[in-house]
Amino acid sequence: MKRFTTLVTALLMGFGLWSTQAFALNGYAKQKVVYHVNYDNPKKQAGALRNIQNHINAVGAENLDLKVVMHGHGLSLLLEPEALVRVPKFKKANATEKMTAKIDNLKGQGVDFSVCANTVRGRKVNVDTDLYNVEKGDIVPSGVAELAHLQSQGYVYIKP
Amino acid sequence: MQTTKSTLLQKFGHNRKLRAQVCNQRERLYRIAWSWCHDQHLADDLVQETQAKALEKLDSLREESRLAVWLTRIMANIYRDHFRKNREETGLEIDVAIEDETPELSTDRMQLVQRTRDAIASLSDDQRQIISLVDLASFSYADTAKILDIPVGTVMSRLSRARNKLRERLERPIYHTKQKVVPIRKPS
Amino acid sequence: MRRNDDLELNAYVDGELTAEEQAEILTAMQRNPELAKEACELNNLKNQLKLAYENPPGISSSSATPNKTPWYAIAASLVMLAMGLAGGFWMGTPANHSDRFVMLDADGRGQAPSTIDSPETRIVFHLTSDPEDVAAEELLDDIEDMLSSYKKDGNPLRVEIVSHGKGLSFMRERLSHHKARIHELATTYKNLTFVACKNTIDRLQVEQGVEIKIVPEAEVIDSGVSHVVKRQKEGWSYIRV
Repeated sequence: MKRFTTLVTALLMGFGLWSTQAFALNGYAKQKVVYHVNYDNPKKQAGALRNIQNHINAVGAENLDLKVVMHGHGLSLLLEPEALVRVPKFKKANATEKMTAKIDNLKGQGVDFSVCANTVRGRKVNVDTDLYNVEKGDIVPSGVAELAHLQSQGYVYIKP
Repeated sequence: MQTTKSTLLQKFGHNRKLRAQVCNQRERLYRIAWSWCHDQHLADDLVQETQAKALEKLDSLREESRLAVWLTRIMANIYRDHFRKNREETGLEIDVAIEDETPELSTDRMQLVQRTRDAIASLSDDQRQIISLVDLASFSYADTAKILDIPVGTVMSRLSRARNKLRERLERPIYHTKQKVVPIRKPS
Repeated sequence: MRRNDDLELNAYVDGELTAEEQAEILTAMQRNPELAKEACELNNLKNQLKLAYENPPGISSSSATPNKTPWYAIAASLVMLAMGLAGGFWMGTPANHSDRFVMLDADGRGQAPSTIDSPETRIVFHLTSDPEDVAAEELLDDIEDMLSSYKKDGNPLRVEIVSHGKGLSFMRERLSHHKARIHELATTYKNLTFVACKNTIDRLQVEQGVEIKIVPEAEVIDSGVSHVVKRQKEGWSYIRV
C-alpha cells in the first residue's frame, strides 16, 4: 500500500494536480463533460449510455457534471416507438423500455439530457407525445451551438 | 446430505475466485468478439452478456481449467442466437476501416493489417469464426469443435476453405502507381 | 492438392498431428518442395492473421470497473483519466491554456479540451461519416442558423467544416448532394471555411482509379486529422459528425 501511495503521489505531483481543486473530491471543481449523440444506431446509443455509467462508476456522481446533447438522428434515443409513424424523417425510435430504464437511471445520478429545438422543429416532433419525458428545460435552441457553448464553458467534449 | 460449514465456505471462496476469473477474461473475450463482428459496440455488448450469463451459470462449469473454452462457447451461442439475427436487421454496421479514423496509413504494416481485416470481413460468418478461434485464440480443433458445437471434421474442412479463400483475396492483383497502395473493395 | 492432403497439411501447420503423422509429412516435404512451400505459406497466413488482430479498436477503452472508494482508488482513477488511459480527459484549472493538450483516442475519436475565455467563437466540424448518414442537410441548416444569428448580433464567429474519410463525399464535385448549398453558404459567409483532406483524396484515387475533383469552395490540406488536432490545440470547439 505504501508503494502505491508513493506512486500515486508522484504521478499527481508530476501532473500538477496536487491540489484539491483539481480533484473534485469535495464537490467543487466538478469534472464537466458533454456527450454528443447524433446517430440512431440503438447499439451505439446503448453503448454510449454504458460509457457514461462507467464514467460515473469510476469517478463518482457527486464529482461529475455530465450532459448529453442530442440532435439530428440522435433524438431517436428519446423517440417513443409508437411515435415513429408520425415522424417520417426518423428511421429509428429507440426509447424502448430497456433504453428508457437506462436513461432514467442516469438521470437519477444527475445526468442531463438535452434535445435540439431545431431538430424538433425541422422534423415536426411533438415533444409531449413523441418524446420520452422531455420537459421545456431540456430543450436547447441548437444542438451544435450548445455543444460549442458548453466547450467554451469548460466542458470536455466526447463523441461516444 | 449434510454440508458442513467448511464445505460451504470452501464453495463460497471457490465461487469468488471463479467470478474473478470470469471478469479477467474480458479482454480475451473482447478480442474474439471483435474479430467476429468487426464492431466495437456489438463486441462490447456480446462480452457483457457473455459474462453475465457465465456468472449466472457458474455452477455448471465442471473443471476450472476449461474456463476459457466454456466462456467462449457461451459467447458463441449468444452470438448465434442473438447477434447474428440482429445484424441482419440493422444491416452490417462494421467499424469504419482504420484508415478513416486515424492519421493516414503511412506504413506498410498498417496497410497489411487493414487488407487482412478486409479479407476476413469478406468471409462468411462461419468461416470467420473458425479462423478467429483457431488462428487468433489458438484453440485446438477439438476445443473449437466444442465451442461451436460442430464435429471436428467440419472444423477442419471449414478452416481449410476459409484459409484458401483468404489467400485468394490477399493475392489479388494490385494497382501500381507512384504511391504505396491500398487496393481493396470499393468504399461502401 | 487433393482434399485430404489439404486438410492434413492444415492440421500439420496447426500442430494437430501426432508425432508419427508429423514425421510422415516432413518426409513428404523433403521429397516435394511444393508441399513445403504450401506449409510455409499457411504459416505466414497464420502470422498475418495474428498481426491483424493484435490491436482491435476498443481495447484501450475497456470499461473502468466500479470501485468501492478508498481515497487512493479515486485519486488513482482521476489520475488515469487525466493521463488519458480511460479515454482522454483533460483535467486542470481553467487558467491553464498554455499546457492544454489534445486527446484523440486509438480510433481517432475526438475528445477535445475545453476552449475557455476566447473572445471569438471558433468551431471546427469534423465530418468523418457519410453525409447521408448524419443528416448533413439538417446540419447545414443548424450551422447556417448560427452563422446568421451571430452575424445579426455582431458577434465574432469562425466555422470550419473538415471532410475526411467517409465524409469526403460531401465535398466531391461528382458525389456531393450539397454543392449548391455549399456554394451559397461560402459566398454569404466569409467566416465559414470548407476543408478537404488530401490523404483521403489520394487514397480514394488509388482505390477507385479515377481522378477526384473537389468543389471549388473547399481548401485542400494535407491531413484532415492533423488539421483538426491543430485547431483543438488552438482552442477551437470541436464537434464530430
